[in-house]
Parts: sequence; structure tokens; C-alpha cells
Amino acid sequence: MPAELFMPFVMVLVAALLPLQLLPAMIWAERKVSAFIQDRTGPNRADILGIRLGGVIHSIADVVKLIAKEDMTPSKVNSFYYSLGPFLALFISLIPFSIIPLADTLKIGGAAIPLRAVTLDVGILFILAITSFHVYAVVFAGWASNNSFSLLGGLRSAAQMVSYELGLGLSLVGMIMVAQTLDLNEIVRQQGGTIFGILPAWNVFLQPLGFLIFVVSIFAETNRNPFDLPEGESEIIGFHVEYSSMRFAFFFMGEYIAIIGGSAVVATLFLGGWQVPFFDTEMLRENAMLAARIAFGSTAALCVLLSIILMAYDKKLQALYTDKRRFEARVLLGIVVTLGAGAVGGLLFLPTLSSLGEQIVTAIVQNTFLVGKILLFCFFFIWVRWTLPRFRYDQLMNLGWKTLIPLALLNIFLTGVALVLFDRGA
Amino acid sequence: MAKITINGVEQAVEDGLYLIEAARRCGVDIPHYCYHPGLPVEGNCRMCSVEVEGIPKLQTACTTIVQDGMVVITDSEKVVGERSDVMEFLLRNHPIDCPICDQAGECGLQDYYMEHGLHDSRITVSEKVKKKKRVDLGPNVVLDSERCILCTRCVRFCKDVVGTEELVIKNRSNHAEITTFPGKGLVNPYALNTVDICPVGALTSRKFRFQCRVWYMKNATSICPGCERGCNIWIDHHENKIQRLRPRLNPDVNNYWMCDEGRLDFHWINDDRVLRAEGPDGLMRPDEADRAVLALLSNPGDVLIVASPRSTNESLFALKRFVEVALPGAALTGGSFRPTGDDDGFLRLPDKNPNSRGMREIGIAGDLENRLNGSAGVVLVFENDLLGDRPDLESVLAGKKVVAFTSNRTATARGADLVVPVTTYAELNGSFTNHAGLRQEFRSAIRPPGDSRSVFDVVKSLSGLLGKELGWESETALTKEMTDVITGWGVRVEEETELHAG
Amino acid sequence: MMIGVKKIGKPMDIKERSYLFEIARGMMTSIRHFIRNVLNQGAMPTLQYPEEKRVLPERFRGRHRLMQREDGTPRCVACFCCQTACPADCISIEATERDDEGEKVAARFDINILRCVFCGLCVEACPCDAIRMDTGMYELADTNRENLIYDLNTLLRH
Repeated sequence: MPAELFMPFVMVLVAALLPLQLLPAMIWAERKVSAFIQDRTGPNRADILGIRLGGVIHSIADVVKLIAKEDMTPSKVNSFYYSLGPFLALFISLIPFSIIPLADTLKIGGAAIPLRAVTLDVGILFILAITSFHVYAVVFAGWASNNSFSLLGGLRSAAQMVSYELGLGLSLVGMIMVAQTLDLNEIVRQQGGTIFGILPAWNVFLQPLGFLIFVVSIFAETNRNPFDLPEGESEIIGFHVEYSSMRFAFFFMGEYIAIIGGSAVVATLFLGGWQVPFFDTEMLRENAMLAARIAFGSTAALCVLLSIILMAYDKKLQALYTDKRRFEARVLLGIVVTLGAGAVGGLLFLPTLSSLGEQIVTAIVQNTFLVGKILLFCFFFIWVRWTLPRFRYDQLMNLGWKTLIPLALLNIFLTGVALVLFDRGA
Repeated sequence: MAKITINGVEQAVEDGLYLIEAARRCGVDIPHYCYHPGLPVEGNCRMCSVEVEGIPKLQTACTTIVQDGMVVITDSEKVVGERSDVMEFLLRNHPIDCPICDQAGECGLQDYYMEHGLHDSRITVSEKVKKKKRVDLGPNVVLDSERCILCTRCVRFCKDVVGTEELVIKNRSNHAEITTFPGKGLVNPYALNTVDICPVGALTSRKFRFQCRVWYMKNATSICPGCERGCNIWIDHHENKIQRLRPRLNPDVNNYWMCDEGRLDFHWINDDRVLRAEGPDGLMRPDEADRAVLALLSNPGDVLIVASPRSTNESLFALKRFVEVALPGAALTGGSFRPTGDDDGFLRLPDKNPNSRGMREIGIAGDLENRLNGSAGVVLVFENDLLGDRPDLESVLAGKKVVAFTSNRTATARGADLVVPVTTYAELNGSFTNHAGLRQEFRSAIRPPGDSRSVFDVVKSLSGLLGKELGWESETALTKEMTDVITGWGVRVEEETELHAG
Repeated sequence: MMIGVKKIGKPMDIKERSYLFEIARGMMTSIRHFIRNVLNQGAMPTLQYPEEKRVLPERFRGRHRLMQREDGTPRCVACFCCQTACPADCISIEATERDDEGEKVAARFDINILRCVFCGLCVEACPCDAIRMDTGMYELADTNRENLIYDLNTLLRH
């Protein structure tokens, strides 16, 4: 069966599952990072047979809780739009992943297989278009709830998202002028190599102002602190005040997937996407054996480090607990040791790679770097949330219209000047 | 009139007054223990010593009779020092067991120590003379000898007010204590007044002892319903329960005193009350009860309404109007089969109902027995325990429908076909007219328990159901009309007098 | 007199108005806490409560107890001082006479711990040192309200 026929299906699956897999990790990270920033320990109580994984089990408990909770639907709501809101919130958040290139294109027997679900020439525009739909989810939910507070929340967030979409789009113009393309894989490929031999040629270094505006706008687009007025649960009451159970969970998940998606877009456009710094695709393919060995070796080293940490943790558990929780570290240690042994085995018995094997190893390494960049940016999201207070609404609007849009226009102007001066323009 | 100067202010007072009373009327309170306006003076506590110009030594204000031109100083350094020294003597052997003393909170020693003493004790508790902590003087009074300051108010009360002379002081000096004669007890029917007049916690009431701290209680002015004397009383209550009754000064009726019988007769207000209306089919709401009563009133000529001399004037007046307006043709009668007592020449009177004269003056006939033996098939009994007082009436009432409007589960209530709860005098604003024709008002002390309503509310509701108007918006309007109609019942203005300081 | 607006502090300069540097400073503060707590979790002030417990200070006010005399009878003389002092109205006493000496003693002494605010005024009010709050008991939760009204015997047993 030709690879180019079934690979799109595989890639759709991957594009859908990747954010859904990152979601619980994201929620866990939100709780744990916020705790550590605030000198707390964070979640650590929920367990399955004593295994707590530092609070990860709480995410599972959350799922059980949200599914089991009573799904309240207020009377006199418009039930179609009331149900459509949460659905849209989750669905639209998931779409950008379909065009994010996960690694460089594979070449099998002369056929090129792009490692993304959908290949679109208008990639960036598609993302902008789709994220604009997110406002419908919020407005539907706010209006259909038949509650003046949620209606005001929905209107507030509609104004916010529409305002920041301008900055979002304009900030990318400079980058597109440099790249001369809208295709995401092409943009990523252009970010290979270095500037002056020391910096990776990422767009963040070529377009620092554009990057800054884009990041601020993407925070506002995802309704994330310091721009989370649409929710504003504690003070001004947001659009989802009438939702409960899994409908609420859809908004909740949609928000976090939007963060992951936003991180993926930022990583792709500005942080080099799947590019491994200083190593382009050809170099990686030539040195695939070495890359594989380094991967196994670093996994084994990581396992050793984890084992040491777990042994110290075990001592603490033994002193503190008398119930089944005291065996947690030992169970985890077993898993880590097994994993480490596997890595060592892989290192020792690594077969010589074929051409296809080299490409696959390269793709895995590149994808690992992409996911790493996404996770780092997700961490940045969390980090910002637990540092900055919320904006007031007029401050929010002032920033969007009076600061970000002029700056974005300035960025376009400066980029044009630079392109003319350095003769890279058309 | 004599002109005296107290603390630099010249005032005119009646001749022949004791100085302490004259000073009180001039607004100067002189501290005292043994002096009581209702008792002969003795002057043993020395607390009321004052300076009188021209006399070198301090004089006791309670034994000095005012003279024209007398100049008295009650706040000089000498007087204040004397009071402090007297307090120290009085507290020499006091056990300071205020935590377990019922008088704490209304104790003369506590009050005057804070006002005039505030000295540090020079002796330890172990050096104090020990006496008996619990002496049963009689059936109602308990003595704690250690607390006694030997003011002899109780001795004088028994000797000069009641004339039974049960109490004396035996022994001398530190060992002196109050006692009864061997083999005798403090058995006179007014013995509990000694507990009231005792300025310290030495005499306590056996019934009230340890029941309630005095600072928890609230007071209401009332009239004793025990006999037709109509002694003025305080109702002391806490948490909607009556804790004790105390006499209230009224020189025209009971002076400072009341009898033990009336004083201890309040437990029926706290206990065994009818809370819900009760018919043959079980408990009823007030409106259901009223309709059930109404169903029996279809033929007024067959109805006999029995009023009671234990009801207030207001209740009786409302009842009379109810019969006239809403139920013409029904018979209204009143009276009581309550056993009578003796006139002991002091306070207690034979008729044990508080409002017999009021009932007569309102115009309710007293032909109770004849009417009961009549043909009426429906009997409405208001606040009257017919069967409890005369068990032989059971045969008379047997063939009749009996509706008992009652506060307690009396024998009448048990024999009745329908029981409707009504308030007692303690839950009601109203008045009794005593044997001398004096109409005395009283105020409600506690909230009515359960569904209890006043008789006025009951008859108002019934007449409303009958489509008739009694003509009064409120009980105030009723009282006004009643006092206008009946001669001699003009509203008496209450003067609330503090008993304790007496 | 006119009401005016008083501006406190100096106006922000261009560096502060850009917010970026101040935001960066804030971000550094929070990441410093994060790194410190990741590297040394044991140094965090949090106690793992049911397993770890705080050492109570000497004067900690826990559940009440009633003291006994040498002969085992309660010290309490039912003076109602604690009931009077209690701002939460959680103590309810019934007094009776002691058979031997005519002294007062509590027939019933209930503390409704659900109402108690643990202020300690009852202890201060007691003239006999009969009630104390030195048991150090603070885990008083129960599934039944009746169990949380402590009677004389419970309080004497402590």
C-alpha cells in the first residue's frame, strides 16, 4: 500500500491526538507550576493504588468528576446555541494542529510525504481565519445562556478578540514579507541555518518586534492572563457562568488546547518549528546513527538521574506514610529502570539504518524538538499567568488599539526598509 | 415641714421622718443594710452613718429623726472612710462564695463593696470563722450562716410584720447566728419575704435555689392571681420560663410583701400547657378549631358560656360583648367552684380568684350552678376548671358538648369535647380588679406557648366568622371603652418602685 | 474648599511606561521561586497535614475539659460564669445541690462545640480553675451533630 495514501490518515490522527494528549499534562503543569511559584506544594493527594505521580492523578479525578457531575441546563436557554458554544470552543481550538508541520517532508521512492494532516498553501491565513471563529463559541455561549452577566461577558470577549486579531494579523505581515511564502513548512525550512554563525536563523531573531506583538496578541486571543476578562470568574463573571459538567469542561479544554495550539503556531512561525538548531535536515539524515545513539544515551542518562531522585523520594515516603502510598517510589523506580535498560539495549544493539530509517529517525528528532518548543512556550503561558495581574478593560483596549496596532504597522515599515536596504526584496 | 441641709443643699421634708428616708426623698441615697422601710428601725449595721453638724460623732441616718435646721453631710471623707471600715468588718467572716451564691448579682455586699469598699482583705480565707453552710429553717427557706451579716431584717419581719417570732439570734460576737427555737421551724405563710429582704445571700428560697442566675432574668410588672387581694408582683423570667415571683411595692394593697402560696404558684404557667387545639379527631390549627367551635354555635339558645373570675377584665368584657353582639340568645354566666381559704388578717383573702369583683362590675351574673343544671346542650368554658374544682359536676356535664378554652390540661380539659389553648395572665396585657374595687393593670412577661391566644383574640376570631363586629380594632380600644363605661376604673398610672433598695 | 486630586509618587518614565522591563522583573521573581521550590521541595512551608502535624504552642486552645478534685468529683460549682462569659452561647449548665454539704454542683454541663469559637473566655471566667482548654485536641470533626455536644462525663474524661 503506497505510503502517500495512508499517511494523511495517520497524520490526521496524530494532529488530533497530540493536543489531547498534552492537555492533561498542561492542566497538571498549570497547577504544579502555580503552586511552586507561590511556595505551595500543589496537588499531591489523589492516588491510584498509592501512585500519585506528583498530582497527575488529579487530572484523571477531574475527568471523572466533570463527567459525573449534574449537567444543568438553565430554563429558557436557546438550547441549540447553548450546546453549540462549548462544541465550537473545543473544535476550533483543535483545527490549527492540522496544518502544523510536525517534521520535514519525507521522500519515499520519489514521492514526497508531508508530515502534516493537511497541506495548504495559505497556511498562515488559514490559522488566522480559523482562530477568528473562536469568537463565535464565546458569543453563542454568552448569548444563549439567557443571563445578562454571561451576555456581557460574551460581548466583552467578542470585542477583545476582534480587537486583538488585527494586531495578530499585522504582526505577521513583516514575517511574511521576509519569508515570501504563506506555506508553513516552507517558513520552517527557511528558519534553518544561522545568522552570523551564532544564532539560529529563527524568525524571532529576524522579527523581534513582530514576535512580541504576536505573543501579546495570542495571549489575548486565547483569553489567557493577563487578558482573561472574558472569564473573569472571580470579579466580572464571564460567558460560561451558566455551564456545568462536561459542557463547562469543553470550554476548559478548549482554552487549554488553544494555548497548546497557540504555542505550536508560535513555535512554528518564530521559533524554528521542527528545526533542530544548527542541524538542518540533510545533516541530520547523514548523521542519523549518531543522533539515534545520542537519543538512547540521553534517555539512559535521564533514567539514571530519575532513579537517584526516586531513591531519595522513597526515603521520604517511608518516613511519612504508613499506607500504600509509601511504595509509590519503588513502583516508579521499577518502571524507570526498565525504561533505562531498554535505552541501554537500544544503544548497544542499534542496527545499521536504511535510507528510510534515517529519514524516520530524523523526523522523530525534529518532532521531539517541535514538541519541546511547544511545551516550553506552554510553560511560558503558565509562567505569565501566575506573575501578572489581570488588565482592566479600558487598559486592554488601549493596549490593543493604541499600542500594538501602531507598533505592528511600524514593524511592517521597518521590515520593508530593511528588505530594500539589504536587497532581499522581490 | 422641716428644713434640712443635705450636702449643702437646703430642702424641706416632712416632720418625723427618719433621716435616711428624708435623704432618699431629696435624691441622696445613703447606703444601708439593716434599715428597711417596711420594718422597725434597729441601727445595727452602721452602714448609714452620716455627719450631722453639732454632733461630734457620726450618726446613723436610719435612727435619726429630722429636725428643722439640721445640716447633714453624707459624702465627707469621714463618712466615706467610715463606710469603708464598716464594709471591712462586715466582710471579716464572709466566705466570698459568690460563684455558688444565688444572691450574686443582686447582693448588697457586692454592690456596696464596689461602691464604698474596694479594700484589700487583711485576713485569709482560712482565718475566717466557719459556720453552717446549709440550715433548713423551714419548708421554704434555707440559711447559709456564713454569709449572714446579722442585720436582723428577717428577725424583725417575723416579729413585727407577721407576729410569729420564729427567728432569733443566738450566741455572741463572731459566733452569732440566726436560728429558730429548738424544734420549731420558720413556718409562717409569709416566710419567703425574709429571702427578699435579706440584703445578702444568707436566706435563700428552697424552690428558687440554684435554678437561675439573677443576671439572666428579665422582669415584668404583674398582679398575683392567687386571691382577690391582688398583690403587686414582679415576674422574673428567663428563656420564656417564669423563674420566680417577687412582691412589688404598693402601699395601698400589699406594701412590700406577698404570701408564699401566691409566690410559689407559677409552675402551672411553665408546665403542662395545652399547645394545640384538640378535638375528637386529633390536633387542629387555630382556624380549624374556630370553625369547629362555630359548628356548635348554630343554635344560640342552646349555648351556655361560662366565664371565670380568673380571667382578666378585658377578657370578660370582650366575652360579654361577644355574647351580646354575635350570639344573642346564648346564656352567659360566671363564677368559680374554687375552694375558698381563710382571711388571715394580713394579705390572704378567702376568695382564691383574682377578679371576682371585676366580673361582678362588668355585669356577668354569678348563677353558675343553676345555669349548669339548665338545659343548655353546648357549654363553652373559658379559663374555668369546673371539674377540677367540683368533680361531682361530671354527671351534669356528661350529656353536654363541652368546649374548654384553657391554658392547662385541667380536669375540665380532659373531659371536654374540644380544647382550645388560651394564654395565662403572664402572657397577656390586662387588669384584675381586687376585692376593694381597685383595678390593677399588668404587662405580659413571656411569649404565649404554642397556639395559645388571648380570649379577646379567640372571640374576635369567632365573631368574625359569624360575620359580626365586636367594635374594637385592638385591645387598647377595648380597655378604653371598658374604663369609660365602668365607674371607678379610670386607668391607674403605674409607679414602678424598686423593691430591693427598700 | 475645593476638592482636588493629589498625585502621589513621581510620574512613570518611558522605561516604566513600556512595562516590558517591569514585567521581566516580575517574571524573574516568580521563576526564582519556581526553581527554588523545584530544587528543594522540603524547604516549602507546607505540612503534609494528616501525616505531619504542627507542634502546638504551649498555650494553644483546644477542646475543653473539666477538672476533677482529688476525690474525683468535678471541680465545677455551676456558677454559670463561663456560660455568662461565652460570646458564642455554647455552654449550657443546669445546677443542683450537692447532697453532702449543701454546695452547688453541675447536674448537666453541655458544651456545643459546633458553636464554640475557642476564644478561651470561659477559662478566664472560671473562679475554680474547673474548665481548661489545654487538651490540645483540635481534630473534632464528626459525622453526627449530636456527638459534638459534649456532656459532663465526656468533658471530665478528657
